[in-house]
Amino acid sequence: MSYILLHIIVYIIFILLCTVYLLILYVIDLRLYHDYLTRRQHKFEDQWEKAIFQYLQLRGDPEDFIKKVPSRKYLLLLELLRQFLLSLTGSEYEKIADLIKQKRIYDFLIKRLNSFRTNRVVTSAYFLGLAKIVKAKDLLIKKLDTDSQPVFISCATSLAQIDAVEVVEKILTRAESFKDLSRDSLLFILLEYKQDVCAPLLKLLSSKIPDYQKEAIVSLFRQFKYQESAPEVTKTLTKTQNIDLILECLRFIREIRYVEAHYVVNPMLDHKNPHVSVEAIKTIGKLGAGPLVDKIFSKLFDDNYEVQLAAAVTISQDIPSARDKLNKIAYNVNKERATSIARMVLSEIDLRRYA
Amino acid sequence: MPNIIKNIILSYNYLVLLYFLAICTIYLLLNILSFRNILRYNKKIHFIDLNRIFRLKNYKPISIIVPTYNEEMGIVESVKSLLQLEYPDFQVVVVNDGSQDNTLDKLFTNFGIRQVSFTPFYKLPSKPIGAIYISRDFPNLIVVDKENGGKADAINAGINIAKNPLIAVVDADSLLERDCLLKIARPFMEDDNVVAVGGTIRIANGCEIIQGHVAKVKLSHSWLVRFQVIEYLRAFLFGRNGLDALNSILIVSGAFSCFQRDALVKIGGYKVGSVGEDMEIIIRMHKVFRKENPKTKITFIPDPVCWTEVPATLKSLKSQRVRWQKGTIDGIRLHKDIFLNSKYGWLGLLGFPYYTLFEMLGPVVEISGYIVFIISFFLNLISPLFAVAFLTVAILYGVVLSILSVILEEISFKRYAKLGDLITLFAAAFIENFGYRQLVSWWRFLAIVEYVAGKRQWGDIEKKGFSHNN
Repeated sequence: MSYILLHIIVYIIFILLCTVYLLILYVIDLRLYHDYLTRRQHKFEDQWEKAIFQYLQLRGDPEDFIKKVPSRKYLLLLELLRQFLLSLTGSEYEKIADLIKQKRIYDFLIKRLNSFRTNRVVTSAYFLGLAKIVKAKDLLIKKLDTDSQPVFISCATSLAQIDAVEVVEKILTRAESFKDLSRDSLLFILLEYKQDVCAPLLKLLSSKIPDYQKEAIVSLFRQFKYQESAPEVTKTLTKTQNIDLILECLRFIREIRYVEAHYVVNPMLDHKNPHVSVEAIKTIGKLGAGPLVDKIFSKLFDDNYEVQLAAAVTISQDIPSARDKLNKIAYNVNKERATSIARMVLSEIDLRRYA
Repeated sequence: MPNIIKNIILSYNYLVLLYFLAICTIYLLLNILSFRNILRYNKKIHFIDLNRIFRLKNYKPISIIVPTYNEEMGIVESVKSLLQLEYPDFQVVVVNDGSQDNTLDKLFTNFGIRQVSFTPFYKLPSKPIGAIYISRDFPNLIVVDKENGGKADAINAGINIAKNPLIAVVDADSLLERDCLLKIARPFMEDDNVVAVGGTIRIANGCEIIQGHVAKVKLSHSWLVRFQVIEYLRAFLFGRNGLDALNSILIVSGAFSCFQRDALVKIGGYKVGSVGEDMEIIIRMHKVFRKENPKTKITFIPDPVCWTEVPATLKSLKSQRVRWQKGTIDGIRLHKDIFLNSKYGWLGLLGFPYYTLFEMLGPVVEISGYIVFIISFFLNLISPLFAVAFLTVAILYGVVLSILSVILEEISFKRYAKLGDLITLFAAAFIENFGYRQLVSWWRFLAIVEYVAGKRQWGDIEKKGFSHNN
């Protein structure tokens, strides 16, 4: 028995030793390769950075410039150009983008875009989008049908950067098939579009799309302060039960101060979800509390801390007519929680005055 | 020697072997879960600019509570680092827990604080507050000066003052990554069932620190610190990550964690007088909130978001480990009804038993195992070959685990830029198995003995401060 056990243990030792050896070797190999690439990039940058500045200053010919760079160094060049593209604007940005638009570089990128290796496709799509190369649009659209999430995100982002408004619907449809694609990722893609994407998105908002997509669309409308969407956003607010979407609609209405939505927002003061009540209080504060002052004041005595705080802050900031009442509450010892919160908000105003 | 004693000794050896096999299996399972978890996490946030996204989202404002006691060496750097964090809306509440050094003076000098009248909102138990100050230069910096009452008491006082719906608790000797709040607040926004989130802690000793931030990640020259780097990688990248996949995290580090304010208040805040308040509060949260809502989540983000100073001397390290071990025992003892209780899901069936059997009782089995093993060897109960082979397996297994954590760090976050540091880490992962781990086990064993004997108070930790590290 112990002889067999010993045998097993020796085998385990052998396996563990091999595992340790191979794992260390693999990681050091990876690191050496990574360090080699970094050194190579630095060397290239030292050599070519000056040439790019000269090209920008002298308004050089992009074709001539690219001819001087050996094709095996295109990736290094692109990495260097990336830093310029991210920091420059206007004609200087265009001048750098012209380099990427040159046939040799473009062909190089397209070849990589058609590769089976995810990393190659992702980097290629990244540069096509960063340089806003419109002629790559069709190829990028085809790539949206991929099963790979990184490829989808990079191609969709590039299309957004190119401002390919016509594919926004496809992007949203395809996004549904990626289980791990977060709301943040989708919003990040949409944010790359310019304001003209709002019109097609407005049509989509009334169609049957998942709530998280509607939420991203309303966020985008808020980003662009897209007034035309206000009636549709209000309609969405009346129809949905999704808390995140409700919150996003309320924030949109508040930021563009869409007074016509008052009738939809008012009942939400008593919503069972405290987050909704909070947003409704803040929104009504901005739209004008009018006859709802007492109602908002009553929220100072709510069971939920966030609701109480929102009521106190809204009264102190947006409802001057109720500030005296807030002061009274602050010195009313019988209403302990409301008193504390009123004092806290009023002290904060004092603190700001001190600061 | 009577046969019965020989049989007992041999049986104990087999028991230790069985224990070893069980721990191997659990670790392997946790490793697999961790790899999956980290890859999924990276996939989720790799492409997005969190700062930009947060400005658009329904983000929740955060109050950062920093309990401090005699932190004059590092408090200025810490607060500076906190004030530079990227987040749309946050306040920093520094709670001076009756420091006897110049902590408060340093805050006066460096941040221009002045006393104001301010009414605390909640009434969580805490020692009396002497004064509340606000900074002239940074309106989101509040300093609370109170009587000494311990860390838990200081945090409770901070909660009473803090106003935001999310509460982050940060140790004064910690430095945070600029985007740490964006990352730690994200789980709360993704899922309303999340009540607490822990962050990954890394070791700052040896790193280059500029203006309260880790500018360059470097390994310390001290082997004691290097061994702790390996321990932290193992604990955070594998241990907590793996348990997170099963929603069975029993502790989030006190150095940096974030809570829903309402949840903290509902359970009455931190338990004053507890040895391991970080663990106790998490177990209590599981107990209270899982009863109400089985979907309640206490989760963890694998990104390295917080850097902390670790003990650089054997004396202070021993004191820390003794305290941690006592904290583990305290937390488990207070909530023993969770053990194998299916009402709590994986937490009751796996997480809690794991902590009880391997984290709490591990040192007892290990130390007694060594003793019985040596006795067996001298009594010729086991062959020398078997003894050597078994010890080799045990050590190699430890090495594999440590190396796997270094590998996971390298393929996911790659924070140690120098190849030399990576190789040193591999060396540390190997060397720590010869002496260091046994020493730590011995200290933990002593902690158990002390705890059982009724000696349950905290030990002292030597404070050096970041400005003196480098």
